[in-house]
Amino acid sequence: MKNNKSEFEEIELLEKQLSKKLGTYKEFKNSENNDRYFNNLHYKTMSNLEEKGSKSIFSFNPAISYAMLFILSFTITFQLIDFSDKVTLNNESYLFSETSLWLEEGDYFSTILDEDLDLDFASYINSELNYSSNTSLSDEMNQLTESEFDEIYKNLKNKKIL
Amino acid sequence: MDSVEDKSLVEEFLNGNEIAFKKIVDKYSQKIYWHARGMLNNHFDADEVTQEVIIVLYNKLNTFNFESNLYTWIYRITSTRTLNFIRKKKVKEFFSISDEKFDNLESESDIQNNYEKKDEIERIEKALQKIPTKQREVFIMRNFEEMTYKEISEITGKSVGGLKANYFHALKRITELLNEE
Repeated sequence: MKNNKSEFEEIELLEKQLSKKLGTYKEFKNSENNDRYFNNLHYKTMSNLEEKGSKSIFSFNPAISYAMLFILSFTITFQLIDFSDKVTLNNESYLFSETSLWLEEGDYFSTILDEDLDLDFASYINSELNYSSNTSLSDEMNQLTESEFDEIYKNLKNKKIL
Repeated sequence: MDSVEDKSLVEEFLNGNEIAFKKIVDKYSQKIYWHARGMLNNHFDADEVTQEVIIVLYNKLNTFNFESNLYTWIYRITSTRTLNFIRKKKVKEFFSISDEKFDNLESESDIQNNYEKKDEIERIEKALQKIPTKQREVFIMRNFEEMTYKEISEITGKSVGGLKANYFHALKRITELLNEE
Protein backbone atom coordinates (compact mmCIF):
# COMPACT_ATOMS: atom_id res chain seq x y z
CA MET A 1 0.00 0.00 0.00
CA LYS A 2 2.77 2.34 1.08
CA ASN A 3 4.74 1.20 -1.93
CA ASN A 4 1.86 2.06 -4.27
CA LYS A 5 1.56 5.48 -2.72
CA SER A 6 5.22 6.32 -3.16
CA GLU A 7 5.16 5.04 -6.74
CA PHE A 8 2.13 7.19 -7.46
CA GLU A 9 3.89 10.23 -5.95
CA GLU A 10 6.98 9.53 -7.99
CA ILE A 11 4.91 9.32 -11.17
CA GLU A 12 3.31 12.66 -10.38
CA LEU A 13 6.69 14.22 -9.75
CA LEU A 14 8.18 12.84 -12.96
CA GLU A 15 5.16 13.96 -14.96
CA LYS A 16 5.56 17.44 -13.55
CA GLN A 17 9.25 17.49 -14.47
CA LEU A 18 8.48 16.36 -17.99
CA SER A 19 5.40 18.46 -18.60
CA LYS A 20 7.29 21.48 -19.95
CA LYS A 21 9.46 19.43 -22.29
CA LEU A 22 6.56 17.34 -23.53
CA GLY A 23 4.56 20.54 -23.91
CA THR A 24 6.82 21.40 -26.86
CA TYR A 25 5.86 18.14 -28.53
CA LYS A 26 2.18 18.78 -27.90
CA GLU A 27 2.51 22.26 -29.43
CA PHE A 28 4.17 20.69 -32.44
CA LYS A 29 1.32 18.19 -32.75
CA ASN A 30 -1.26 20.94 -32.69
CA SER A 31 0.64 23.34 -34.94
CA GLU A 32 -1.35 24.84 -37.82
CA ASN A 33 1.59 24.08 -40.10
CA ASN A 34 0.45 20.47 -40.12
CA ASP A 35 -3.01 21.27 -41.46
CA ARG A 36 -1.93 21.09 -45.08
CA TYR A 37 -0.69 17.53 -44.66
CA PHE A 38 -3.82 16.36 -42.84
CA ASN A 39 -6.19 18.15 -45.23
CA ASN A 40 -4.65 16.28 -48.16
CA LEU A 41 -4.41 12.92 -46.45
CA HIS A 42 -7.84 11.61 -47.41
CA TYR A 43 -7.40 12.56 -51.06
CA LYS A 44 -3.84 11.16 -51.17
CA THR A 45 -4.85 7.82 -49.62
CA MET A 46 -7.87 7.40 -51.87
CA SER A 47 -5.78 8.15 -54.98
CA ASN A 48 -3.20 5.58 -53.88
CA LEU A 49 -5.96 3.08 -53.26
CA GLU A 50 -7.41 3.62 -56.74
CA GLU A 51 -3.96 3.40 -58.29
CA LYS A 52 -3.32 0.12 -56.48
CA GLY A 53 -6.62 -1.25 -57.71
CA SER A 54 -5.89 -0.39 -61.32
CA LYS A 55 -2.37 -1.79 -61.12
CA SER A 56 -3.38 -5.14 -59.64
CA ILE A 57 -3.52 -6.84 -63.08
CA PHE A 58 0.13 -5.99 -63.60
CA SER A 59 1.17 -6.87 -60.08
CA PHE A 60 4.78 -7.91 -59.43
CA ASN A 61 5.61 -11.47 -60.28
CA PRO A 62 9.16 -12.64 -59.35
CA ALA A 63 9.07 -15.54 -61.85
CA ILE A 64 8.37 -13.18 -64.76
CA SER A 65 11.07 -10.77 -63.56
CA TYR A 66 13.68 -13.54 -63.47
CA ALA A 67 12.60 -14.79 -66.88
CA MET A 68 12.92 -11.26 -68.31
CA LEU A 69 16.34 -10.88 -66.70
CA PHE A 70 17.47 -14.20 -68.16
CA ILE A 71 16.32 -13.25 -71.67
CA LEU A 72 17.93 -9.83 -71.35
CA SER A 73 21.26 -11.27 -70.14
CA PHE A 74 21.21 -13.94 -72.87
CA THR A 75 20.59 -11.34 -75.57
CA ILE A 76 23.34 -9.04 -74.35
CA THR A 77 25.83 -11.92 -74.00
CA PHE A 78 25.03 -13.11 -77.49
CA GLN A 79 25.72 -9.64 -78.86
CA LEU A 80 29.00 -9.25 -76.98
CA ILE A 81 30.56 -12.47 -78.25
CA ASP A 82 32.06 -12.20 -81.71
CA PHE A 83 31.85 -15.67 -83.25
CA SER A 84 33.70 -14.84 -86.46
CA ASP A 85 37.43 -15.52 -87.16
CA LYS A 86 38.53 -16.27 -83.61
CA VAL A 87 39.99 -19.70 -84.31
CA THR A 88 43.04 -19.63 -86.55
CA LEU A 89 44.61 -23.05 -86.51
CA ASN A 90 47.17 -22.33 -89.27
CA ASN A 91 48.95 -19.59 -87.37
CA GLU A 92 51.91 -20.70 -85.19
CA SER A 93 51.88 -17.78 -82.75
CA TYR A 94 48.76 -18.22 -80.87
CA LEU A 95 48.07 -17.41 -77.31
CA PHE A 96 45.67 -19.09 -75.05
CA SER A 97 43.37 -16.58 -73.45
CA GLU A 98 41.35 -16.95 -70.28
CA THR A 99 38.24 -17.06 -72.38
CA SER A 100 39.36 -20.46 -73.77
CA LEU A 101 39.59 -19.17 -77.34
CA TRP A 102 42.67 -19.63 -79.54
CA LEU A 103 43.72 -16.19 -80.64
CA GLU A 104 46.22 -14.67 -82.96
CA GLU A 105 48.82 -12.49 -81.27
CA GLY A 106 47.56 -9.41 -83.07
CA ASP A 107 44.08 -9.91 -81.76
CA TYR A 108 45.20 -10.41 -78.18
CA PHE A 109 44.99 -6.81 -77.01
CA SER A 110 41.64 -6.21 -78.59
CA THR A 111 40.45 -9.32 -76.76
CA ILE A 112 41.55 -7.81 -73.46
CA LEU A 113 39.13 -5.04 -74.20
CA ASP A 114 36.45 -7.63 -74.82
CA GLU A 115 37.30 -9.28 -71.52
CA ASP A 116 37.04 -5.94 -69.79
CA LEU A 117 33.63 -5.61 -71.31
CA ASP A 118 32.80 -9.11 -70.08
CA LEU A 119 33.91 -8.18 -66.58
CA ASP A 120 31.81 -5.02 -66.60
CA PHE A 121 28.94 -7.05 -67.90
CA ALA A 122 29.40 -9.60 -65.11
CA SER A 123 29.29 -6.91 -62.46
CA TYR A 124 26.31 -5.34 -64.20
CA ILE A 125 24.41 -8.64 -64.12
CA ASN A 126 25.51 -9.18 -60.55
CA SER A 127 24.19 -5.81 -59.43
CA GLU A 128 20.99 -6.37 -61.42
CA LEU A 129 20.52 -9.69 -59.63
CA ASN A 130 21.19 -8.10 -56.26
CA TYR A 131 18.71 -5.34 -57.01
CA SER A 132 16.19 -7.82 -58.31
CA SER A 133 16.46 -10.17 -55.32
CA ASN A 134 16.37 -7.20 -52.95
CA THR A 135 13.18 -5.76 -54.42
CA SER A 136 11.72 -9.21 -54.92
CA LEU A 137 12.33 -10.12 -51.27
CA SER A 138 10.97 -6.79 -50.15
CA ASP A 139 7.85 -7.16 -52.30
CA GLU A 140 7.33 -10.75 -51.24
CA MET A 141 7.66 -9.72 -47.62
CA ASN A 142 5.00 -7.07 -48.12
CA GLN A 143 2.69 -9.69 -49.59
CA LEU A 144 2.98 -12.05 -46.63
CA THR A 145 -0.11 -12.50 -44.51
CA GLU A 146 0.07 -11.42 -40.88
CA SER A 147 0.26 -15.03 -39.66
CA GLU A 148 3.03 -15.94 -42.12
CA PHE A 149 4.96 -12.88 -41.06
CA ASP A 150 4.38 -13.69 -37.40
CA GLU A 151 5.91 -17.11 -37.97
CA ILE A 152 9.07 -15.65 -39.55
CA TYR A 153 9.34 -13.06 -36.81
CA LYS A 154 8.92 -15.64 -34.04
CA ASN A 155 11.50 -17.92 -35.67
CA LEU A 156 14.06 -15.15 -35.82
CA LYS A 157 13.24 -14.04 -32.30
CA ASN A 158 13.36 -17.59 -30.87
CA LYS A 159 16.80 -18.03 -32.36
CA LYS A 160 17.76 -14.74 -30.72
CA ILE A 161 18.68 -13.28 -34.09
CA LEU A 162 16.49 -10.21 -33.67
CA MET B 1 -22.53 12.39 -28.54
CA ASP B 2 -19.35 11.28 -30.23
CA SER B 3 -20.35 7.66 -30.55
CA VAL B 4 -23.82 8.65 -31.87
CA GLU B 5 -22.17 10.83 -34.50
CA ASP B 6 -19.69 8.08 -35.37
CA LYS B 7 -22.47 5.54 -35.72
CA SER B 8 -24.39 7.74 -38.12
CA LEU B 9 -21.21 8.47 -40.14
CA VAL B 10 -20.43 4.76 -40.43
CA GLU B 11 -24.01 3.97 -41.47
CA GLU B 12 -24.00 6.75 -44.05
CA PHE B 13 -20.72 5.46 -45.47
CA LEU B 14 -22.00 1.90 -45.62
CA ASN B 15 -25.00 3.22 -47.54
CA GLY B 16 -22.64 4.58 -50.16
CA ASN B 17 -21.93 8.11 -48.95
CA GLU B 18 -18.19 8.64 -49.54
CA ILE B 19 -18.29 12.08 -47.92
CA ALA B 20 -19.16 10.39 -44.63
CA PHE B 21 -15.94 8.38 -44.93
CA LYS B 22 -13.97 11.57 -45.55
CA LYS B 23 -15.47 12.98 -42.35
CA ILE B 24 -14.35 9.89 -40.42
CA VAL B 25 -10.85 10.25 -41.86
CA ASP B 26 -10.72 13.96 -41.07
CA LYS B 27 -11.83 13.25 -37.53
CA TYR B 28 -9.37 10.46 -36.74
CA SER B 29 -6.39 10.83 -39.10
CA GLN B 30 -4.45 13.06 -36.72
CA LYS B 31 -4.82 10.58 -33.88
CA ILE B 32 -3.69 7.74 -36.14
CA TYR B 33 -0.75 9.71 -37.50
CA TRP B 34 0.53 10.96 -34.14
CA HIS B 35 0.37 7.54 -32.57
CA ALA B 36 2.35 6.09 -35.48
CA ARG B 37 4.72 9.04 -35.49
CA GLY B 38 5.54 8.65 -31.80
CA MET B 39 6.13 4.95 -32.23
CA LEU B 40 8.15 5.16 -35.45
CA ASN B 41 10.05 8.42 -35.09
CA ASN B 42 9.77 9.51 -38.69
CA HIS B 43 7.23 11.13 -40.93
CA PHE B 44 7.44 8.78 -43.89
CA ASP B 45 6.87 5.60 -41.88
CA ALA B 46 4.07 7.29 -39.93
CA ASP B 47 2.51 8.47 -43.19
CA GLU B 48 2.66 4.93 -44.59
CA VAL B 49 1.03 3.41 -41.51
CA THR B 50 -1.64 6.14 -41.44
CA GLN B 51 -2.56 5.49 -45.06
CA GLU B 52 -2.59 1.75 -44.41
CA VAL B 53 -4.98 2.22 -41.49
CA ILE B 54 -7.27 4.47 -43.56
CA ILE B 55 -7.39 1.79 -46.28
CA VAL B 56 -8.19 -0.88 -43.67
CA LEU B 57 -11.01 1.32 -42.38
CA TYR B 58 -12.33 1.79 -45.90
CA ASN B 59 -12.36 -1.95 -46.53
CA LYS B 60 -13.41 -3.19 -43.09
CA LEU B 61 -15.85 -0.65 -41.73
CA ASN B 62 -18.65 -3.00 -42.76
CA THR B 63 -17.40 -5.47 -40.14
CA PHE B 64 -17.50 -2.91 -37.30
CA ASN B 65 -20.34 -3.92 -34.99
CA PHE B 66 -20.41 -1.00 -32.52
CA GLU B 67 -19.59 -3.25 -29.58
CA SER B 68 -16.86 -0.75 -28.72
CA ASN B 69 -16.36 2.90 -29.62
CA LEU B 70 -15.24 3.59 -33.18
CA TYR B 71 -12.32 5.45 -31.63
CA THR B 72 -11.19 2.35 -29.69
CA TRP B 73 -11.58 0.16 -32.77
CA ILE B 74 -9.54 2.54 -34.95
CA TYR B 75 -6.91 2.81 -32.27
CA ARG B 76 -6.67 -0.96 -31.99
CA ILE B 77 -6.04 -1.20 -35.74
CA THR B 78 -3.49 1.61 -35.56
CA SER B 79 -1.66 0.00 -32.67
CA THR B 80 -1.51 -3.41 -34.38
CA ARG B 81 -0.42 -1.98 -37.72
CA THR B 82 2.27 0.12 -36.10
CA LEU B 83 3.68 -2.81 -34.13
CA ASN B 84 3.62 -4.96 -37.27
CA PHE B 85 5.41 -2.22 -39.18
CA ILE B 86 8.15 -2.12 -36.52
CA ARG B 87 8.55 -5.90 -36.70
CA LYS B 88 8.63 -5.89 -40.49
CA LYS B 89 11.26 -3.19 -40.42
CA LYS B 90 13.40 -5.25 -38.04
CA VAL B 91 13.14 -8.31 -40.30
CA LYS B 92 13.95 -6.21 -43.38
CA GLU B 93 16.96 -4.74 -41.63
CA PHE B 94 18.06 -8.25 -40.71
CA PHE B 95 17.94 -9.30 -44.38
CA SER B 96 19.58 -5.98 -45.37
CA ILE B 97 16.63 -4.99 -47.50
CA SER B 98 16.53 -1.27 -47.98
CA ASP B 99 13.33 0.65 -48.50
CA GLU B 100 14.30 2.30 -51.77
CA LYS B 101 11.07 4.22 -51.95
CA PHE B 102 12.43 6.51 -49.25
CA ASP B 103 15.76 7.15 -50.94
CA ASN B 104 14.53 10.09 -52.96
CA LEU B 105 12.28 11.63 -50.39
CA GLU B 106 14.79 13.81 -48.62
CA SER B 107 13.54 16.87 -50.41
CA GLU B 108 9.92 16.07 -49.67
CA SER B 109 9.01 17.96 -46.57
CA ASP B 110 8.45 16.24 -43.30
CA ILE B 111 5.90 18.25 -41.39
CA GLN B 112 8.58 18.69 -38.75
CA ASN B 113 10.63 20.86 -41.10
CA ASN B 114 8.07 23.59 -40.75
CA TYR B 115 8.42 23.70 -37.01
CA GLU B 116 10.72 26.16 -35.28
CA LYS B 117 11.57 23.98 -32.26
CA LYS B 118 12.75 21.16 -34.48
CA ASP B 119 15.75 20.23 -32.29
CA GLU B 120 13.67 19.85 -29.15
CA ILE B 121 11.19 17.67 -30.99
CA GLU B 122 14.01 15.51 -32.33
CA ARG B 123 15.38 15.01 -28.81
CA ILE B 124 12.01 13.83 -27.56
CA GLU B 125 11.54 11.51 -30.53
CA LYS B 126 15.03 10.07 -30.11
CA ALA B 127 14.41 9.47 -26.40
CA LEU B 128 11.18 7.67 -27.26
CA GLN B 129 13.06 5.36 -29.61
CA LYS B 130 15.39 4.35 -26.82
CA ILE B 131 12.73 2.73 -24.68
CA PRO B 132 11.14 -0.69 -25.39
CA THR B 133 8.13 -0.75 -27.73
CA LYS B 134 5.60 -1.73 -25.05
CA GLN B 135 6.72 1.07 -22.75
CA ARG B 136 6.77 3.55 -25.63
CA GLU B 137 3.23 2.67 -26.61
CA VAL B 138 1.78 3.19 -23.15
CA PHE B 139 3.83 6.35 -22.67
CA ILE B 140 2.45 7.87 -25.89
CA MET B 141 -1.11 6.88 -25.09
CA ARG B 142 -0.91 8.29 -21.55
CA ASN B 143 1.01 11.46 -22.26
CA PHE B 144 0.15 12.56 -25.76
CA GLU B 145 -3.31 11.09 -26.17
CA GLU B 146 -4.24 11.46 -22.52
CA MET B 147 -5.96 8.09 -22.31
CA THR B 148 -6.92 6.35 -19.10
CA TYR B 149 -5.37 2.99 -18.25
CA LYS B 150 -8.77 1.41 -18.84
CA GLU B 151 -8.92 2.78 -22.39
CA ILE B 152 -5.36 1.66 -23.08
CA SER B 153 -6.18 -1.76 -21.69
CA GLU B 154 -9.18 -2.05 -24.04
CA ILE B 155 -7.00 -1.19 -27.01
CA THR B 156 -3.92 -3.23 -26.22
CA GLY B 157 -5.58 -6.10 -24.38
CA LYS B 158 -3.03 -5.78 -21.55
CA SER B 159 -3.85 -5.68 -17.83
CA VAL B 160 -4.08 -2.30 -16.10
CA GLY B 161 -1.41 -3.40 -13.60
CA GLY B 162 1.02 -4.30 -16.37
CA LEU B 163 0.34 -1.04 -18.15
CA LYS B 164 1.00 0.98 -14.99
CA ALA B 165 4.32 -0.79 -14.47
CA ASN B 166 5.31 -0.17 -18.09
CA TYR B 167 4.32 3.47 -17.85
CA PHE B 168 6.34 3.96 -14.67
CA HIS B 169 9.48 2.51 -16.26
CA ALA B 170 8.95 4.55 -19.41
CA LEU B 171 8.46 7.75 -17.49
CA LYS B 172 11.63 7.23 -15.45
CA ARG B 173 13.72 6.40 -18.50
CA ILE B 174 12.41 9.29 -20.62
CA THR B 175 13.07 11.74 -17.78
CA GLU B 176 16.63 10.45 -17.47
CA LEU B 177 17.20 10.68 -21.20
CA LEU B 178 15.80 14.18 -21.53
CA ASN B 179 17.77 15.41 -18.51
CA GLU B 180 21.02 14.17 -20.02
CA GLU B 181 23.28 16.81 -21.70
